[in-house]
Amino acid sequence: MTLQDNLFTIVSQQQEEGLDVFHVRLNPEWPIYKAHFPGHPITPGVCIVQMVQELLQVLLHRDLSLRQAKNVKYLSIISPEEISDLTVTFCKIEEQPDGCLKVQAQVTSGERLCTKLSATFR
Amino acid sequence: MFKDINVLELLPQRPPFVMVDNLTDYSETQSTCCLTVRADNVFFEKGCLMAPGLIEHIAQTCAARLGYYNCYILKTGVRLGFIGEVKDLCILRLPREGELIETTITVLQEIFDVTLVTAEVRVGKEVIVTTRLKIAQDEQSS
Repeated sequence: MTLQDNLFTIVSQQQEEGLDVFHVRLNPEWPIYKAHFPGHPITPGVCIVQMVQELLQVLLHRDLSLRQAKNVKYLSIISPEEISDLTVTFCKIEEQPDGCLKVQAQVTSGERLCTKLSATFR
Repeated sequence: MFKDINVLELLPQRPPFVMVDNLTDYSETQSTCCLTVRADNVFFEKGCLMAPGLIEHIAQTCAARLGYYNCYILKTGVRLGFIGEVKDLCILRLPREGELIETTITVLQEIFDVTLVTAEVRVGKEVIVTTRLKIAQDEQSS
């Protein structure tokens, strides 16, 4: 399943201070929220990883798949009842000699840092 | 004996977001769960279970262990849990439709409601994913 247009929609895509930034809106009606968890909708942490990957694909117009993650840190729970808009900032995108991409990204809601990711995609 | 337990008894997640089939082994410091890769999985794409599905499967292996402990040993309810951190994830290959994956987590540290584990996902004897996870349990029962 593609999460774009299911879990989230892209509101805007722009460059801010030289970095690629996406503003996205979460869809609180997404059926998975009823399964994770019944009565307590929380955005699954792994969906944040998938969202970052899908946005990277939109940005670079190429198919990518997560191969390694140095770390993905979840600092704040994202409940669609409290948070509807997220900002995804790509702090670093570095092409490796083998064609892999080293990526650092962060997901924020207003001033609150929700997720920090440092990973390699291919 | 673990195989007779309906995994839904141990987990706060519900279909279609359940990514383990069975708890197959439990001890205080180590647990194993299995999953057959199916096309109806949320993270199934191009014939394989993709990385987010593998991470969720590992996290739910941790959840099944905690669920077993809470339900069968403490005799309290299942609690909500969240991934706090994924560290040193290495995906050697993605499992294909129909393959049975088995995941063993080993507890490195448990402090209050936070559990740090190392995990290994295998197809037969072949290791396909290794990582470390930090799982936080909520006070709330599901």
